[in-house]
Amino acid sequence: MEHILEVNDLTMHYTVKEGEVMAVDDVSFALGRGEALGLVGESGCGKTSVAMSLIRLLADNAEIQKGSIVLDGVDLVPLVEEEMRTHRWADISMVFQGAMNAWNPVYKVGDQIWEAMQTHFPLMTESEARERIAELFRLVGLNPAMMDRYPHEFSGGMRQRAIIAMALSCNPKVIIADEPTTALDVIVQDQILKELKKIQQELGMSIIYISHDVAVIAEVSDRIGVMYAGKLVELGPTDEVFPRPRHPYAYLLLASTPSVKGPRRKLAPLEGEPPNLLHPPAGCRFHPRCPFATEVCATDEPPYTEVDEGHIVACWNWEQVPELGRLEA
Amino acid sequence: MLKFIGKRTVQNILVFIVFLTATFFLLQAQPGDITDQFLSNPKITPEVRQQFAERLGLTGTLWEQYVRYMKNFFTGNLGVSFSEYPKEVMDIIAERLPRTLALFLFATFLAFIVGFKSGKLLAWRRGKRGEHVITLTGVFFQTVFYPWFAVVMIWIFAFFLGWFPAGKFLTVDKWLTAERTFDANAVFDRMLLTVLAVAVLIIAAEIIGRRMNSRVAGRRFIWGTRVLTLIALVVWWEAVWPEMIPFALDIAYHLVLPTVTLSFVGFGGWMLLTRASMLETLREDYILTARAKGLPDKVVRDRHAARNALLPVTTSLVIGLAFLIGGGVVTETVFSWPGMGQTLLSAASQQDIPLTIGAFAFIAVLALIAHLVVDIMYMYLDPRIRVGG
Amino acid sequence: MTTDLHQSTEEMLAESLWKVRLKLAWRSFRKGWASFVENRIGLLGLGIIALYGLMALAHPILLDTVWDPRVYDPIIGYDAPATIKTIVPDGQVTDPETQVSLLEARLINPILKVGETLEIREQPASPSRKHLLGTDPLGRDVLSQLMFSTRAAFLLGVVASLVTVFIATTVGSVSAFFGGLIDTFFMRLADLILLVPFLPLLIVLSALFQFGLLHLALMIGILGGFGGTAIILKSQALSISVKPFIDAARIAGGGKMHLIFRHIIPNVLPLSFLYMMFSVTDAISIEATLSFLGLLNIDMSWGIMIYQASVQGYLLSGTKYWWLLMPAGLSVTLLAGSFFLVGRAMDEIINPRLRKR
Repeated sequence: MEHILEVNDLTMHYTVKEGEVMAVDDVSFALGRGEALGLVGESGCGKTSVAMSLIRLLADNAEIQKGSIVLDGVDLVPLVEEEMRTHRWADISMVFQGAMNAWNPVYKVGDQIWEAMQTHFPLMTESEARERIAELFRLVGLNPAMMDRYPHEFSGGMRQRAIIAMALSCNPKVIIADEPTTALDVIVQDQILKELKKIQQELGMSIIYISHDVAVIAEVSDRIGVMYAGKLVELGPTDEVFPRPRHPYAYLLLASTPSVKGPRRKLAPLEGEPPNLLHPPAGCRFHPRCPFATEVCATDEPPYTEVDEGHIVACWNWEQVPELGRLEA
Repeated sequence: MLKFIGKRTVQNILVFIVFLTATFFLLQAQPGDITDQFLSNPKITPEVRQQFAERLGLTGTLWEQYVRYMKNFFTGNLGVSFSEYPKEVMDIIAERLPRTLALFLFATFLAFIVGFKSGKLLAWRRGKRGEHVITLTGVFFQTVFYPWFAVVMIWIFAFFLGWFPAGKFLTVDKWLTAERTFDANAVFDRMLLTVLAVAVLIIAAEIIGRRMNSRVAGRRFIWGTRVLTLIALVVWWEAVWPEMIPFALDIAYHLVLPTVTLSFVGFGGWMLLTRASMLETLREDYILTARAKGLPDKVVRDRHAARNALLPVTTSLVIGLAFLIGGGVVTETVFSWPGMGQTLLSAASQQDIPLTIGAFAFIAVLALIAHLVVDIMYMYLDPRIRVGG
Repeated sequence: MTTDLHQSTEEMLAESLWKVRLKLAWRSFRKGWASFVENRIGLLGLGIIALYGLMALAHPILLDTVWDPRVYDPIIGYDAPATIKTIVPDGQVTDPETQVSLLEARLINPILKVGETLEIREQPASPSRKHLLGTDPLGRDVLSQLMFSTRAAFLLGVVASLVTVFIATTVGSVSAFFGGLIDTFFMRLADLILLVPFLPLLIVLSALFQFGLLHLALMIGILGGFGGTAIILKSQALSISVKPFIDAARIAGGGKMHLIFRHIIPNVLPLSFLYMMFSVTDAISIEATLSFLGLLNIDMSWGIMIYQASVQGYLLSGTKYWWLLMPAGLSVTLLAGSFFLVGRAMDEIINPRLRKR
């Protein structure tokens, strides 16, 4: 498959008073054209940091230390801010988490979408823009008349649909959906996920889903990457990783999540907390919580092993990880 | 929207009635009778004194006095000034109110614009050098001993640099030597009316322009109105009141220094407040959205961050206005600006109670109207209140 | 680790309750102090306040020891340095230190002639070693007045702010706790006070009643306490009265008064203390302004110093008589500003919204 986005050895650090926080550490993956990739992990594991690095919207104290982000042949990392600005939204856009606050409360929703189009397509006339917004609204299941309304007149689900419309407005090459449904109630969540998936398939969008919710990722993505403490620990096709995770963390994460569709299984709690990224543990970062840890885990970082075609895992003892425990009905 | 304005207006009128009642009881609580001080004044005979007492509603039972007092107030019958006897209080106020209004409006406008813009820029370059210097400057202007500051301003700009006159409403020589058929108030009232008309036209154009469905056409309409209004202003004065222009400019020249000085009262507070409020908005998600959309920094700063930072600043405008009104009294005194504040002060220090109360009541009305305007402004700025909220 | 915690809890239980309270208070004070020191601006304000405090304390001591009260008393002292000058014809003054023109001399005494000598008393006198900040138009020492007035400023500030905070804390807590009619009444009252311009109101009041320093302090305190500060403290009290520990105390059988005085007010106090700083700022500026306008019945204060300079016609004299206006004006600004700075710094510590992340 042709790659629209390639991320190589991406490393991003925050500098704080106490030292350096390694938020993203040597992360590499590729996104195929028209593919949906899911990144999953607990909060604070670096998923959102990856997303923000991709669109290069980092806090003042954050710095991409090495690596490359090649979007359709252009490396975004060395670009100066003004060049990067022209790529944002036109080439890589985002569906933000927390639809509530992603809209500026004082402007009409349509105007906020038009603003993005105006910036990237200065020649577009107002009537063309309104036409386009109406089309997008219909695509995401909103009444086009809503474009002249203010965000507070939208319900949570409608706001999120409008956010999706805005993300699509400039025909980006890649869309990053960061917790696209987290703030919504379950029924709306499901509707929006289905809608997103439908649109993605219809338009052939390349999309990166980011969520802490394994169920969400399972529903929408073709491939899945599991992140832990700033590292990508497992990456593979969804149909392979889900039934048979190879990394102990992925295993425990899946075992702790009930699956609605799959076979019933026993739930196992995932104990402990992610490490402090100021002083990450030596060796494998998961070893203090890992039930399969051996001596080598505490000293040496595990390399990536290809367990199957396109399915890689960073673990010394991946062969020890059992199948997800099945509970007989 | 109209319902909201109506509700606020009624509320304000109620507040004013409570306020008048409180003033009435304060007068009652004062030892003796306010006309006592004229016992020894040869100019005022006992009969006149009795008339005063009757006009001021100082005869009859407490309730009768109260009713008469309120009635007099709302019919504009504020009595006769003691210190400027036999001038009617209402006439004195009618003469001086426009001058205070001009000073107050211009200073508020200037302080708000400059305070907001500088606060905005300072927040945008947050975390860089000079943080302490900025805070100290802001606090200095907010807490400076204002009368002293006004004097220092006169030293610098009137005596040392000599750019502006040191005080007064107009250049006396110029007015005395010129042949003219009008007085200063006539000129000044026309100036004020012109400014108000311009303001109303520009604000109306803004509202209509924003309501238009096409944003491009709306913007053209707004700018067109602005330019046309300014042209009309010049043409009107040249055509209708050409002989007044040099005198109007003379008054305007005298207005500059007091206005600038008074504006410093509000400037510091509004700068610090805008900066704090802007730093808060900059953390909002929609700022991230705006940046992710690839909008230029200036657009993110002005259209998104500053526009929202304006809301809390507008709310606290009310407190700033109270300061500005107080500062206005001092400004008028130091600059010998013959307005309501100076009138209030001289009346108060000469125990001219009718004029004191009259001036005070009108200053209170000014404050109430200012608050009402701020409320309406806030409603206009925040669609969550304006639309359906 | 867990056992440690248990032990310390047991130890704490063994101590009497007030000791524990004191310990906790001391701990939070130390923590607050550490962040206060980090915030340089607050420290600067505190330094200036301490400096003025020292001046206020030093004044009576100086008058008792070094300064002769006949010369240095801030209100009735008098001293005018005299210089003997020779009268010369108009326009021939070559040395203004020792010579004076006939025209000027005749302004003082019309029968004087050229060649005679004249004793000229300088009043106001410019700063000299004897009078570090010169003398005022009545021949009184400006430095002594300045130091004397510091005491009045502190007294006024403390009284006004204590009254403000006492009223505002009580009104705020009671309104928040009881709600309903009481709440509506106090909040409307606060709105009303906020709506009426403060300074003009005080001008009217001082015209109706003669105000001394203490009256003024009480007036400012009452207006401030029922006004804006009450609204702020009420919202704080409201956020506390919905916290679980209030319910817990209620269930444990705490009466209404107990709840208000033992649980709500102690938690509002830090914010009350903060607003005390701001009300000191207001009180000092208002007193100075009213004195400057000549509306107060006070012997001496910073505002009065400037008022007297202005009555004697030195207000717009430019920098020539700077010592009449600068020291007093700067002192009002500095002291009021310092309390404001301390308040701001405390705001950053107490107010979680402003706390540095």
